[in-house]
Amino acid sequence: MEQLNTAIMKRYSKERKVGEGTYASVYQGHCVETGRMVAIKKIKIGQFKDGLDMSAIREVKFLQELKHENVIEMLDVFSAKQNLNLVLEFLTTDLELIIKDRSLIFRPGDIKSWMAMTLRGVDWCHRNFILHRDLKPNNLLINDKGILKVADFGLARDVADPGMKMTCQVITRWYRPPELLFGARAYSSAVDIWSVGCIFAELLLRTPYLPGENDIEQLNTIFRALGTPKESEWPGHTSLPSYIKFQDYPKQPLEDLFSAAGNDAIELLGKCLHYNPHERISAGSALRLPYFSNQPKPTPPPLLPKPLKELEPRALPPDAVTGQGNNKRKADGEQDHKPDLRKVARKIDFQ
Amino acid sequence: MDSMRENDTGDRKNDMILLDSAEGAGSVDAGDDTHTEHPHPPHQHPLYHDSSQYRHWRFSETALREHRESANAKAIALARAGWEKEEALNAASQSSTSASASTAKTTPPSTDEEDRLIVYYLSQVKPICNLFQFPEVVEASAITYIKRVYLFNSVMDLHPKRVMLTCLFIATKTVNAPVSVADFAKHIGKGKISTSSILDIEFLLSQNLRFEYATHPAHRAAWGVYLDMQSMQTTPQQELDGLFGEVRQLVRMSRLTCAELVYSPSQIALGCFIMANRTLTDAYIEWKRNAFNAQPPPHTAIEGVVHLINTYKSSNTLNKESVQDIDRRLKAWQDPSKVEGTAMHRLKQEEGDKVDLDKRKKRQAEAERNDKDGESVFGGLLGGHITHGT
Repeated sequence: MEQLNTAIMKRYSKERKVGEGTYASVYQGHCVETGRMVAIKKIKIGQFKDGLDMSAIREVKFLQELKHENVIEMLDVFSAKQNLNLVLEFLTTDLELIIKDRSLIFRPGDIKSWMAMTLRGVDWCHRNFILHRDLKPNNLLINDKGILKVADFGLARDVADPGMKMTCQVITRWYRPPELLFGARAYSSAVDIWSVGCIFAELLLRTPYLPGENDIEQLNTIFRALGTPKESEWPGHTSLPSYIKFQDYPKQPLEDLFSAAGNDAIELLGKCLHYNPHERISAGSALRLPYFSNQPKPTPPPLLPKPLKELEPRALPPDAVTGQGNNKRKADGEQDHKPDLRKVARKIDFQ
Repeated sequence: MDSMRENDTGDRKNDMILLDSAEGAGSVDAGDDTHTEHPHPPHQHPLYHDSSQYRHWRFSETALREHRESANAKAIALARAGWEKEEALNAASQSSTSASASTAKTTPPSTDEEDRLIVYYLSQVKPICNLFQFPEVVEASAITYIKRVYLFNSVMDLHPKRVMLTCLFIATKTVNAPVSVADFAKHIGKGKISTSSILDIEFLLSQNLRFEYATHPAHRAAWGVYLDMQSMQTTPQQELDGLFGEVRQLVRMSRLTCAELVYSPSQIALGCFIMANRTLTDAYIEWKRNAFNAQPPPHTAIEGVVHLINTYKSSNTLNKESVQDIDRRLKAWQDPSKVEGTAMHRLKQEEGDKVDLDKRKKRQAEAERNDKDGESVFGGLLGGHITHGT
């Protein structure tokens, strides 16, 4: 194992630092043999009192299993000293930078192309029973050929077994679905689809669609935009753990705000931002909606708009999160299952 | 929302059954541990085949045996050479250490004995999981990790008690049931287990696991078959529940065998169902064939699972006294450089200190030469690492 590790380590060279965070640093490098450009994410461990950090474990665990054109590829893993190094494909930009770059003009086919790639990546995760739980433009990375890849699996988890509770403190707030904001502890891949809907809206508007300042305000923002849900529209939501009653906002047609979008685009958006998570569309079904087969065709990835600027060193989570004003991630300290240690009465002797 | 979850889980297992059986015969019968020769199924590529479990952690029983024997032989050779050197060192310095070359007096544990010791510690995972009320997947993952660690390591290299505790601790994190290491150690050991004894080898063991933490446990596959059998609607629910209770026990038993390193989760699950009720399971397989065009599972695999579980049942593996004897002998066969109080141990520490000192000097020199971008991706930061510990 030691030899295997050394062999892997020797396969790569590192050249310059392109990102820095408290949890990891990212370097640009090459595969010595093929010359392929790679990113090496060095995760510092040995600084946490409970050993290997959960988000590092999650990221490694899922990237080891997921191989898909629209999911960031992890080529290798190796350790050096008390550092864990993930060798990832090198990606030059992300969707957030593209959305924010005012010099870029999006054609309808461009947005369709990004949406198709996003949904394919998300569909692959869901088919593997993995929930991403932090989809947002910043985590959709793009390579030099314009191909979009779902990245950052630090909050991902397997779909839970029936009866198991999951934490509702996941997904960056602006992209978090109402069931999580109401404290649901059993949820499905539908949580990621809500995020995809928010991303779609952001691509159309060029600004975040539902920017709430805190969790309560987030729900208020959602309801103001989409109407306060009725019990008939979303059965059971009033009995969710953190349910509170909100002002009764009327439902506004999505067409009013998204006036430039066609009916097929509005259909996709509405189905992703559907309140009842049971009825919210799946990634696979979304890809089969008319939107994706209608004209205009999705732009081929190499022809998609891309920022002219060279990629700047990118802050990494959790720093990236704190740097974003109100858009804070609260997803730390996850405890999906909490054993009741008060009940632990006896000691086990297995010697 | 719960009902949706159930369906999801069921569907996943159906997939696995369909898919494994289409291909399983090849990999199981081939009797080797290279999976490259098997032709892919013509029509679809099963998701399970992309999993690290399928790619890296399936072996023939023969290959398993060879790996274990080679780890055993290597550890014995290492200990023997180590103790010879220890004697030479002691003779040279004319100082007698408290530890003596005990290898001469005791027989080293055989591969079989190593296996028995490991199985004993595997059996200790469940009581600890009960203590913490961990879900079954924690127990299953921990056991998988322990077995994978001992594919290429001997119990003489790493004591199974420590490996068991650390693997269990890792598993709590990989399947989202984390506890603090302090609570973990406190409740298990009542002060006798230090947190560092767990954390110190966490990274090493993860390395041995190739950082592949995802596991596909057989109890999930069994749950899928159970849900499937409900949709067959041929057997009263009460009878199915009774059957499933029995199957769960058998799956649990299968964890104390090497089954998961040889067979797929669905094959193990079906093997357990066959043991509990052959008629119904045969009817189920027939139903899957007719209604879903699923190929029947390879007979050899199913019978192989049954054989492993039956062998375990009839053995007296968990006899504590015989395990204690193995444990005592393995202590004599540890590499002396890992045993405190030996000359070899002191020597290794001195060497280690020297290496650290050299590296620190080298690093200082480098830092002076190159003040920007001085950090190495391959774990430079030696100074930082060392000071961190103090």
